Amino acid sequence: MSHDFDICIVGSGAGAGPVIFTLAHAGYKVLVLEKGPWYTEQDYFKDELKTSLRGGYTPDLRDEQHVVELENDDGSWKSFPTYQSSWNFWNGSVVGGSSNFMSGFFHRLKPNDFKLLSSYGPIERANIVDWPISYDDMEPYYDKVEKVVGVSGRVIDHPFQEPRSSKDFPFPPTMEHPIAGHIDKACERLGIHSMPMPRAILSQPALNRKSCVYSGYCGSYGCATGAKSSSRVALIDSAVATGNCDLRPHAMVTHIHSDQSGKVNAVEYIDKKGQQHAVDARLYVIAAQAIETSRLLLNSSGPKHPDGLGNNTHQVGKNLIFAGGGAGSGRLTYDKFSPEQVADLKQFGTFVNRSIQDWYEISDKDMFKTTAPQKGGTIDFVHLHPNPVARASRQTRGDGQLLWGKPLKDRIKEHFTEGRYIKVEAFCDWLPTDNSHVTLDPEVKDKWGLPVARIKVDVHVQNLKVGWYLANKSADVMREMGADNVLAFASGVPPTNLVAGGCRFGTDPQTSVLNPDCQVHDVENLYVTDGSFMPTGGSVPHTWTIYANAFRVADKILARLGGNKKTEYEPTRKTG
Amino acid sequence: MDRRDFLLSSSTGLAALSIPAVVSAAIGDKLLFPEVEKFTQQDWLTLATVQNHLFPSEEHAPGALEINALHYLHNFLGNPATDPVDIQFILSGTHSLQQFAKQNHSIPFAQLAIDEREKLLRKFEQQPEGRRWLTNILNYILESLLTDPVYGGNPEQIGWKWLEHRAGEPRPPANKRYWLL
Repeated sequence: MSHDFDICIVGSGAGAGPVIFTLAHAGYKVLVLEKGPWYTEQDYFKDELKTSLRGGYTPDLRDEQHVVELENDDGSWKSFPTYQSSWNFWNGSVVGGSSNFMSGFFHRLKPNDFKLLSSYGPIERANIVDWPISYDDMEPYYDKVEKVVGVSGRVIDHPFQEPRSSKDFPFPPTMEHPIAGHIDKACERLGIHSMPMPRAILSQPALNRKSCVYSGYCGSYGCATGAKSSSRVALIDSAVATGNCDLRPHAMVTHIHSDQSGKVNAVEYIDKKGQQHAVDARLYVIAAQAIETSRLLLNSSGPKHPDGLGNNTHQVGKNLIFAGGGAGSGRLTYDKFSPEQVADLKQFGTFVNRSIQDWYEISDKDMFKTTAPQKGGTIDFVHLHPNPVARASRQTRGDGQLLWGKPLKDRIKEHFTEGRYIKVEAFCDWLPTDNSHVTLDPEVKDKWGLPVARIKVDVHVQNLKVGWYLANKSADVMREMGADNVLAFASGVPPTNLVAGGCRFGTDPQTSVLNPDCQVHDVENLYVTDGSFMPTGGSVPHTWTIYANAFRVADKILARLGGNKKTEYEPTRKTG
Repeated sequence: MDRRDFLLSSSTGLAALSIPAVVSAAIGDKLLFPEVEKFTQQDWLTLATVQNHLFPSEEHAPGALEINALHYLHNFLGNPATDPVDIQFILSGTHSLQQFAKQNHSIPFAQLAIDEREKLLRKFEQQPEGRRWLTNILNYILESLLTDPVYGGNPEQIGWKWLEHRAGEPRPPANKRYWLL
């Protein structure tokens, strides 16, 4: 039977790029359907309005929104559409997805993250399981991401350094701000291992891409040089250059059709002009980011899938996870430092690039009321985000009333000119529970008339305990650095840009959506390759693992299609 | 004397100026966007007066006037990407404040003395809608202070210079402002 394409992929972010790249370079005909526009480096500017204040890279919430369900203090639940709130669960509807806008804090999961249940035991009310694959299965693909997608860093010896097949990173660390030296010295005095943070940013020209130019605006911003290792610049551009990849932007997939046998037989989408299309392929991949992937499956019922594609055991959308943790900040007030140090602290553009993983596993009886080790997490030190409007707006919060007039101006002036801020992001597992999931909202629909995703968010108390532990440890470091105004806290607010789960992989169809190869259990020609597959999220940002797993699954798909049609990959991306 | 010097040297501030002078100084002679036709000259004067009160000019620090805050707000309200709900919210809040001033003082808001304005705005802030409106107005002032000059505020990077802020490169050109990309 002939098909329009060998493989049809919905989405183009970190979960899609490796599949697109692998199969296009292997000589297969690849179709990519991306709902957003196709921007290039020439379209990305350091524009706070577009990037952060007006949602310039995400859908208009009047057209497409979500419904959020949160727990009240008294245990009851409230729900509201995001258009009527300050919430926004979209993260980058453009070619390359949200990987265009990541900060690129890249950490691998540790071996124990693949076997959380057997390593640390059950936790009441948390649906913790071991993964169906091990760290050893994933390691070659973490390594591949370093080399093909591009990760800069330097390996040091520390208690939780994971095993590596390559001795060090292929690219040296990105340039570091002098504040990193303050962190190193403070950690040394405290007996803590301060480590260079790996970044998905090129520190030198490589892979037919330019180096970072240290504009000072990285996270949340699209990269104007191509140094940031987005799925688009690192993988899709070269896939398109093979001539085997047909990438269609502004293509909103509305339904995945399946036949009487339960197999997918067409993908239906609507283009920019509102015209409907249908395409078919030998194999299909969904990688629309966790929430939208679950939503698309649930919206795609068929003869053998009356409750949504792949949802015959009602697992689609279940066990949604985010990144748990905490945050903190402190200020290195200039009048406490020498003129030379102040000049250093005022430098702009380079990265902090420091992490601590000494508490990736915690033994603290006072905190956890047990001698058993607990799963801990990662502390990342970063600059306060430079967005000036956001920083100034925070200064309007007075004591019970708005601050304005000269007092506001004085506070803004002090904030911007009298010290350098250091910020902490602490990452721990967001434990999956029965109350964190995606369903279809019964009332709210998008502009195409499709039910929107209803996102129920549950915060497990263990997230908060570990978050507080890490936040307090980070506060100790900031105080040792001589920082003023040190704040540190755990957060139960889900980071809407760090979301995974919903289609966990496993061996039992009764408790998982995907098999260990990330093929939907009862749909033999459909795979899910974004972060949806993750049963647990590790205590790091998910992106490196999403990239690695997508490369792993791409190899499974490639083998199924019959292996390489062409020989080894040669970069064909244009230079200049 | 240029218009800024004139306005700054006015001993009683904006209230002493004629409506056309203030609005013209702040938003220029450009035609109003159709989306903001509902805003009257009186509305623009009220908004300009509020902005000047919330973010006053100082000898060594720019105020709403120097950062073109009213011109910026006008551009925001008039651009095609702005949600009509946001436009209506600003307009309704402006009318509510005008009404509130009449109820409390029997004269237009823009003619109140500075301490009377402060008291009235603090009372207005006690109302949930009033607080939300003032929060929005403050945010648009800060956008005018610190967003790229291509959007109509922060003339000659006056806000960035005042706060020793380094903008990132590349900066957005006029043909790639957020509603055009």
